Amino acid sequence: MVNRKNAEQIQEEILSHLKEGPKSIKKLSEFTDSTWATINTHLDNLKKENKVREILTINNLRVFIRTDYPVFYGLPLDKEKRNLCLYLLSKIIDSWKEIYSGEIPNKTTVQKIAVEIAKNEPSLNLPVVRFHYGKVLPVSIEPQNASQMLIDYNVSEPKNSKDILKKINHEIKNGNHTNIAWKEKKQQYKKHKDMKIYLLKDGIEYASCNKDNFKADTEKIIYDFFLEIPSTERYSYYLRKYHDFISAFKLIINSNEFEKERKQYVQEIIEVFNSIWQSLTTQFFFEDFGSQADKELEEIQENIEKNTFEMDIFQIDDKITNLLSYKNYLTIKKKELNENEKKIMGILLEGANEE
Amino acid sequence: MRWFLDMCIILGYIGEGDSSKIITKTISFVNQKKDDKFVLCYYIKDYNLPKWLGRKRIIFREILRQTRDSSYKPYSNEECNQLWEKDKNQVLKLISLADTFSDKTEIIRNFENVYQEIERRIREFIEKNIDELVIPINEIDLELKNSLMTYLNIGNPIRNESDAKTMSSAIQEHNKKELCIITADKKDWTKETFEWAVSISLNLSKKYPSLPEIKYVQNT
Repeated sequence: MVNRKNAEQIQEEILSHLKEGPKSIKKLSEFTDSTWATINTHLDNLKKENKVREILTINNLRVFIRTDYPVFYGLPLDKEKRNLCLYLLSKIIDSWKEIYSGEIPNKTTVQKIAVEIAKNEPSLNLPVVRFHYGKVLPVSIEPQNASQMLIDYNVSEPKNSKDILKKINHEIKNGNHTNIAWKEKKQQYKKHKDMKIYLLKDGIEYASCNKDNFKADTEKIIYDFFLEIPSTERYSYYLRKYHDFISAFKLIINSNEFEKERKQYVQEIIEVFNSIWQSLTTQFFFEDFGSQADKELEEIQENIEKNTFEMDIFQIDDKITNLLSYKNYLTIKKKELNENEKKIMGILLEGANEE
Repeated sequence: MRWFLDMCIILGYIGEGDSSKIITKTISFVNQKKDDKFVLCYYIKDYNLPKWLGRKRIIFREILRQTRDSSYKPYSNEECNQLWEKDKNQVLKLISLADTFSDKTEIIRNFENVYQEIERRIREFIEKNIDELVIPINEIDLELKNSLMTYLNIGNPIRNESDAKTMSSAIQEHNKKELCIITADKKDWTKETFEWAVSISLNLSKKYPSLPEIKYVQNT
């Protein structure tokens, strides 16, 4: 006689399998020995209870994760690495509370401490990625739920746990960390030589607050930022769009109308810049995260990346088009070119008779 | 006189103190306009000029890639497929110029100043000098354009179709109201091209019984 599983058991099994990362309905059917339709129904119920989330739907491929799955974008991450990240983040929170009389550290501080440990101890083989606010581990943990996460995800103590705890304590006490997110970010940007673009982004953000000197303060930083966008094919779109952004920025700040409505123009310029930044740093993230060995997981990751990119470019294109459309309304001041600019113009117009 | 302007006239006019004969002649031609009328086709205004400007921006991004990334293989980025051979010569020259800058930010500033000024001058040229805009892009006669392209492409299969579309616009407009073409391109813009392309089809010969005169700015 076949001992059939009841609904609760199947849902438990689904949730258990989803601890390992995103899974398609097809894969979950195989793991639980149930039909596609059964799993689909149970996932719908779990979705209503807010226990799972659908992260991808392409043709017949429907992919789900647990709502508490801690890896950014719901990406699949090797279990050992994921658990080590969870363990480290959770222990940083515990140690911080212990050292600072119960104070709960903010998420940025926890991440920045973790990154320093990963940098100083390459043998731990911790994944570090660049994201919107600098380098982080690709795993997120709420400081209030940290211990519960370790239980939920069956994270056991690593063999070198004593050593890790020692390093955490050392970093918290000697790493000049504070519980203020912006200070932590800035410290990391300055400390890591490969984060110049983040410092420049901060500079642009700062200049936008100082609207009276926006033009003078910002122009050089905006150009410097351009030099920091990577040349590789992955970033071609950003190089192109940022170049358009520069053109629109220059047009606006050099127009006769800029001074009259400075605040609105600055706000719009910064909004477009931020859209580019969010998307650019998402690309940093996917580049640093790396690819998957498993074919289905690779397909899932590629599609998550593709969807994210497509949503981003839809927004960026729209905003840049709006910004560039000021060409039709603003009066551009005549520019006296310097000697180098005359040379550049001469070269660009060479062969114009053949056009 | 009603002049149909080829794109090279606009680009020649907006230059900065170039003493080459063609540029001097172009500037002189435009400045002597007086009561003449200048006609521009929509294809040049809305497609060809923006495309030309776009190529200049690709040139600049390519310079940035080549100058700051030693592992970058020149012209390997996809957008470089849009560059012409002569654009690559400009890249070489601009890289040599860029090498003389110690502050790379200054190159961007200079380039953007130039780009913005070119855009401004083109806009100003059109506003001040163009009296009529003719032949909307979607009204370009495809049969005529294809016939012109066939002639232009003999011995040059990768040629772009921009000349053919501009020529079509000129022939079409001329058959509505007489005009004279002014260009600097002696190679492609010839009486023979027009005659061959129109006479090859009975339909085209009927539609376009008259062909516009072509004058070269070098000879004015």
